Amino acid sequence: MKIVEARVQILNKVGLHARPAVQFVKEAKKFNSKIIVCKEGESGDAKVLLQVLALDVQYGDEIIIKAEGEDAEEAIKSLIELIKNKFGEE
Amino acid sequence: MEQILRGIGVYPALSIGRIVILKRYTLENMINKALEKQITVDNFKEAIERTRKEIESIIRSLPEGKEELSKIIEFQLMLLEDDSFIGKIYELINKGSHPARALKEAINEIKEMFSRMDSIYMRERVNDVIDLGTRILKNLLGLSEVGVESGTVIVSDELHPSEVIMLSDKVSGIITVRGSALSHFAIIARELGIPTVVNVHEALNCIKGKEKVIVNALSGLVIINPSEDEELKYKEMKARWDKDFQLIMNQAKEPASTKDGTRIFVVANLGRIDEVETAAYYGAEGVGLFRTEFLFLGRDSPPSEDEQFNTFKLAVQRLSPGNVFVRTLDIGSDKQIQYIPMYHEPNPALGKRGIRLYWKEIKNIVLTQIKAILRAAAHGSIGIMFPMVTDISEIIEGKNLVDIARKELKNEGKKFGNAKIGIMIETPSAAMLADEFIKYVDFMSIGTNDLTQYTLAVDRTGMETPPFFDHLHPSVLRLVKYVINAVKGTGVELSVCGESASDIYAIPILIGLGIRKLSVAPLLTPIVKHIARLFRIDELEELANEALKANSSQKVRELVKEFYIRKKVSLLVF
Repeated sequence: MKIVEARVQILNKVGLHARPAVQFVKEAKKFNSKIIVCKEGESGDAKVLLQVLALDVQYGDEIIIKAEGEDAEEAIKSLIELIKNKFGEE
Repeated sequence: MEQILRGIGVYPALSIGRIVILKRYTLENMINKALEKQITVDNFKEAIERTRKEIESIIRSLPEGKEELSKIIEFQLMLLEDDSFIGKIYELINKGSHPARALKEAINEIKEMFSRMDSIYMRERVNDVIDLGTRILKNLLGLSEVGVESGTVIVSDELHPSEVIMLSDKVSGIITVRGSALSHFAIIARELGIPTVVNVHEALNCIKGKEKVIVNALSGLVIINPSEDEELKYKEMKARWDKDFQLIMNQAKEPASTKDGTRIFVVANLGRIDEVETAAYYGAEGVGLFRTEFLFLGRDSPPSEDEQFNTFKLAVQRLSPGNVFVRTLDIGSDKQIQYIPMYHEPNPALGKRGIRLYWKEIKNIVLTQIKAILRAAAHGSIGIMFPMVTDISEIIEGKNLVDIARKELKNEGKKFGNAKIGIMIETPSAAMLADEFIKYVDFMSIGTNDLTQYTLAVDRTGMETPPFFDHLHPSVLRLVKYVINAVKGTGVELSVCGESASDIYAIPILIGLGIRKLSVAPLLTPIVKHIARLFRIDELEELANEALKANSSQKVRELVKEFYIRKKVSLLVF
């Protein structure tokens, strides 16, 4: 079983909240791996919207994404890309 | 009787119609109704399925190119599949809970979670969850969708995102008691182009239903039972505005220059944090005046350093790379805050207010505020602006406060940055000493409202309209010109942030005098840019020079009117 981990800074203005959070969770659900998001020692399931929201990830915050499973690498890659693209925000 | 109510406009348009007070389903009511009924898991599952289909059809009904809106609504679809929401409800039902009670509990849990968060974006989202919950219950009880007749202006305590979408083709205007420019329903109303004024506190107390109403969302005004004259004025205004609207809005986000290429900066005056979003959306290039008084109102104690820091941080980030000029607390016996004791003065406008209170009465409160601004300076370009300055000792003392704040932050090991230092020019004395003050500050902002009050000795709260109170009085214009000359070539940034910056009569004159930065209410940004684009600098200079030679404000207004007629520009007056 593959385990992949990445650290990334959130650069879109509203952080990992309503709209971006929806996109994030939607993307995470495309993969079979178990995916966890961590911020300052707290963590939540990347596929559960309310758990992602509960982390209250804001602009400038650093998060760690951990994926465990066959498609862990692809999962991390595409989630990081989404964050780096600021969720398509202007 | 005509009655005018104030609120916050979220979409710059006008509407004239008849009022309907929207009768809506409230969550509490429906939960109680549902609790009286026998509801099986299968009933509940059916209601969820129906809800899902309704939301999907709402998303399909959105006009093309409005993906942002579908994402707002998609959030509700996601909740319908989310383990921590729907999963939680089924879990409670399986344990024997009534479906309505299970739903209530799940919603309360989310409410509580959201209210703990720092992000103001998130706190606004509670409404989405309640929207969803209300829809589920509506389906559980087999009620029909709320409807209204075409062309009505709806009044409501608050609205849900899905309600606005469902009603959008029938409704010509929206007035709500609560809500902010960041509320999802307001964002949806904006995107769907419905003239909307939120935060009209008095709306449900004054309105009975069926009255004629003018919704002036441009200025955040609601005019109930307008007089015939008023209605006629607005009909004309609306016709002109609707005609130019597309052109003005298409260029809202473009920088503005005069016809011959002189760049005119248009920035925003903000009073509330949610206006940051409106300002950014309508093309403001920064904040020329962030009034901080609102942060202190409606509470029992002053806001903490952290709370203020988060507010200012949000503003600099959202409006980056523009400057955000934060005016430090400007209170006095005319603008009171209950937990700050204040003397009663017979003549409050001429008493202790603004910076005059910083040495003793509110020193610590202002120090905390300055620390918050300096911390926000680590995240973007920000300025500290002192109000009601009349002589140099005040500027020096103000800068001392900034030094103390810096030292304290250093000792506390907090991250902070460099803030620009500036002053309001709102007293004749500050205007006349501008050539001295430039040596001590990075920027100045002319507050024409107070400057007019103090120059003309007219109380702005009592006689806010011409002919007595008029920011176009030649004496005020001469003071403005004096400041412009003092600043010229020094690198000190100058702007105008009073009402005159968005007065269609004043804009050509201010630019003609040499002002290059106008700070206006967020929704007026596109219009001010539009006016700046209409003329060449030399013709504006000529107009301004004539105005300086005039001997009454009436004469100045006539000059501007003739100018507009000569240039064949119709006067849109807001």
